Amino acid sequence: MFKELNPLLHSELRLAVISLLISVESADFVYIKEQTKATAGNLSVQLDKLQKAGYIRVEKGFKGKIPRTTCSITPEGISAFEEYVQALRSYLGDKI
Amino acid sequence: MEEKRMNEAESLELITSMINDSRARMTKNLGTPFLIWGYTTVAVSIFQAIIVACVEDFTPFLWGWFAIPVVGWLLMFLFNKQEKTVTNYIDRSINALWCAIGVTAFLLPFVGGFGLGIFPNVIILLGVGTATTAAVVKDKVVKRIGYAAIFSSLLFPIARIVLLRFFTFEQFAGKERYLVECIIFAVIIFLLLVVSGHILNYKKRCLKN
Repeated sequence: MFKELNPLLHSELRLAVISLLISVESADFVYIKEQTKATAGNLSVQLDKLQKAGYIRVEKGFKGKIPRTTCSITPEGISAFEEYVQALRSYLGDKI
Repeated sequence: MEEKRMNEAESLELITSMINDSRARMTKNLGTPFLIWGYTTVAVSIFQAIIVACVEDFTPFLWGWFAIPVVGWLLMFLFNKQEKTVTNYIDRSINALWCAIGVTAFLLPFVGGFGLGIFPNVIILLGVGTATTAAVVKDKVVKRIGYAAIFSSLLFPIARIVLLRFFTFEQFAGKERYLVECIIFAVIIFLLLVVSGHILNYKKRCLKN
């Protein structure tokens, strides 16, 4: 029986962001942009979607005079990611 | 990276690649603190050796050892000034461990210089373990208890100094002093391990509910 893949995570950029945040405590916008090679505009939109779903926490602040956006994954985001990987297993079976 | 539909294999590949990339970054500049503290300690040690060899009364120069934390922390501050764009769990664990060890290294001359036996040393080691564990699981209360325990090892030399003001060494030697130190040890261990353990278990239960 195939499990349904979470449509919010089954998108290249959003999955990349969640995969990145699952392995770090927090990362700032510039780091995520560099790692995912996304444009600032597209990344902002996708971060907003993940934040609204409660999967990530976005904190906006300043370091000196420079604005800084820091993202971290929430417990809901971790659960969603684990469920997504479980669903992938059901599709790929022995290949994982 | 574009917004596109992926198949399952591509999803898995993407997850693996992102996790591997962030792990590769973890080891960046890991050796720098070793170099800073290593070179500083070697330089101060050589300076001390030269002083001992050249000067008749070298005791005033023993304070020179405190140049290690001063210069070390200054260099750490300068090298870490660069903006960190990502914080990972390994960084936090390593920082927590070395902070506790750094505080201990600073206190040891005060505690160990009195030849106080095993009690304060055991407390310091358990305090380092507790403070590090608490920092990793982000528990501020237990972290403070761990650091308080490390500092509480100073109670042993303080107790000895205080007691020697009221009693002569002969009056207060052997069994009596051992009794006082046993009681101090038991109280600190109770606060350090038993109280910390209950706090951590209680918070874990609250998280589950």
